[in-house]
Amino acid sequence: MGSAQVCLVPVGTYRRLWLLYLLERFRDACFGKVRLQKVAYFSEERMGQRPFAFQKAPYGPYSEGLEETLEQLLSMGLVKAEPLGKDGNKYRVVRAGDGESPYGRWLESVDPPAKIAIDQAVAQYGYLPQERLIETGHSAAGFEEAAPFDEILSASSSETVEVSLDTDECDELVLSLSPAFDAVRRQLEETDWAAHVDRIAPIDRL
Amino acid sequence: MAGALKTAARKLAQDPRGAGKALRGIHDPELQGAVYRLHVGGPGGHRLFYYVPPSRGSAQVGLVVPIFLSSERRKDFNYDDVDVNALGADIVSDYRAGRFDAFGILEPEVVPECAL
Repeated sequence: MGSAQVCLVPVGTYRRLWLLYLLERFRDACFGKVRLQKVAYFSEERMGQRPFAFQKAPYGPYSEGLEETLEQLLSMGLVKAEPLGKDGNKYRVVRAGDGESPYGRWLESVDPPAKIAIDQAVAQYGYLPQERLIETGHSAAGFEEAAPFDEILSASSSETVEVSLDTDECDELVLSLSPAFDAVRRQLEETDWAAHVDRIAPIDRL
Repeated sequence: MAGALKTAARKLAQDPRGAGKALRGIHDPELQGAVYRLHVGGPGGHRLFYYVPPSRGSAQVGLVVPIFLSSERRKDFNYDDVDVNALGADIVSDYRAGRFDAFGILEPEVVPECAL
């Protein structure tokens, strides 16, 4: 194992980790984006280090940043969307292998209160009927007084986030949640490396 | 870093899978056990991430594809600077375009002993 230290990771990595942990806390899956947005809002409301800004929207607090991060996770294959007919999709984290998921441990290394806040918000709001959830969203702090699409909860402004993990584990965290690395891995997989090995010349000296 | 790189090259030529440690957090099952990290220049050295193409049937491909080599040593590493896309994608595109002069077959005995 590497030495324990504080690594600085890009805030985008933290956003992807935060959302993966939140989705993972649902028993089966998160049913619908409205539910996801509300539970994310109520998680953040209890936190100091906030990954996403929220604005006033017709169905309650809404975050464009969270929507974009969800799209990233879907395109990276880390989250799967399954259709629910006219009610949109349900979202679940795609597990890598049979081992224990690292997301909770990684999130705790960034911000232990975030993990607790998410656990509580999923338990309290994650399974409410949709209408009740929307009503609850409309009663969020500052929602009623805000103009449509005004920001009602701001995100932390830092571009990097401190992570208390050993360096090896930081590598795992950053690479496994990196869209850039995801693009490379697709190219690595799709290349037929065996096809042309015989056309590579030996190196005489190094 | 030249000497350390030669040492790393020798290790990789001898045993690509044994030279580094497989990244465990790789999500894609196709890549699990295929992407490795090696610290060039010892445990506190520069990170090298590399890919070992999996065997096809009984055939070993016998290539090591470097994805990223950090310019900083381990403790000074800045994740904002990780541009795996640039380096990894360049190597893939060179190979696909048939620019095979950018690659080489390295036998362990070619690496000078003095580099070890």
